[in-house]
Amino acid sequence: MSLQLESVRIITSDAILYMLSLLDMFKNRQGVRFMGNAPVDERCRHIFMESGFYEYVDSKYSPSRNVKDILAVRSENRVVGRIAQEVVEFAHDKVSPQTAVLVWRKVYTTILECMGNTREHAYTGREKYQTKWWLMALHDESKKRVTFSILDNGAGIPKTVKKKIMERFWTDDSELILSALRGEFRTRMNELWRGKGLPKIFKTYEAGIIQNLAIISNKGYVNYGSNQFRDLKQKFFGTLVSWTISEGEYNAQNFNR
Amino acid sequence: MHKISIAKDFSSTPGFRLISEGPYSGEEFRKSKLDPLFKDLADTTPIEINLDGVAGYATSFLEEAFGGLARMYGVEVCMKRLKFRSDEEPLLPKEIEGYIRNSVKK
Repeated sequence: MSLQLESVRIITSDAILYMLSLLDMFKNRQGVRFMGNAPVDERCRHIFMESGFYEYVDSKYSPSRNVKDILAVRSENRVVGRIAQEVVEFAHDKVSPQTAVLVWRKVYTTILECMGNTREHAYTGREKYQTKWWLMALHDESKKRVTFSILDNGAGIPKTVKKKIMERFWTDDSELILSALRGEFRTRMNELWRGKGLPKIFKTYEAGIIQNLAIISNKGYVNYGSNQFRDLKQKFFGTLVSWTISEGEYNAQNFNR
Repeated sequence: MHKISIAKDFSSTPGFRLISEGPYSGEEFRKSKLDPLFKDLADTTPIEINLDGVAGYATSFLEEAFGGLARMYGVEVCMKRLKFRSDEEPLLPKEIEGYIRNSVKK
């Protein structure tokens, strides 16, 4: 199958991850082989090439390897601290190195929680979904911030959290995501000590350590950056979590939460 | 007193909850570093856990390591013997004590 990408003018790390995860799924399940060309637009071409996209799609392009603004796609089916640490080091070089140790510890924790949620939300009880996560980070020098995106093609948060009887029929997916972030007891495994990952991410956001937290899962769309909390018309296969970390002052008092 | 530094004695990049979920998990830490010190039920020697020097912790790592330990040996015994230390994240010891106290099944 051939991907015609010449006309692409805008591309985000989220879109690259979503495409790769779906291509990977088709490749593994149906043995489909993908080829592709590159956008004419310079910035788009740069992101496609340096993200490592063409390591998954046959083409004549290869990354330059000395690029500074993109952490190429990482993908795994386990939670690997060493990779989370690589991502932290990438971001550390980009935003103020004076930033407190605690900030980086919280960023590391956030990455691990996302990797782990891939596994927590990969099962619905009857079905087992693919448990691979896909991660990428992008530095925007003009905005002095690094954007992190991590995605999986699991069952999704709304589908896997524990629901009350009436919620099964008419609760919006976005409401279920918000509830899981607030730490309301929704772990499917009925074990009180589980389900702390999403609330931890949310607390890190509330403390101002990470910004622009956004989650898309199934039809739910929760975006604190643009203040949008709604359901999408189209279902998203899996879960995408993205956030940013910016240069700037951090209030130490906020960390103790 | 026994002393364990997670960064020096285990890993500077701790992972998630279970061994099956990836390297340096909470379960692996509990089984390799904590279990051996709790096997002798008569032993009451305090154990100091130094939490500093790592990249960070997933909640599941901490819960499985210490909450999991409390599910095996009891909340009281764990609270009595374990002493947590962190200069880098001062509220972390309190958070872990919460995992130990809330470790029991519903």
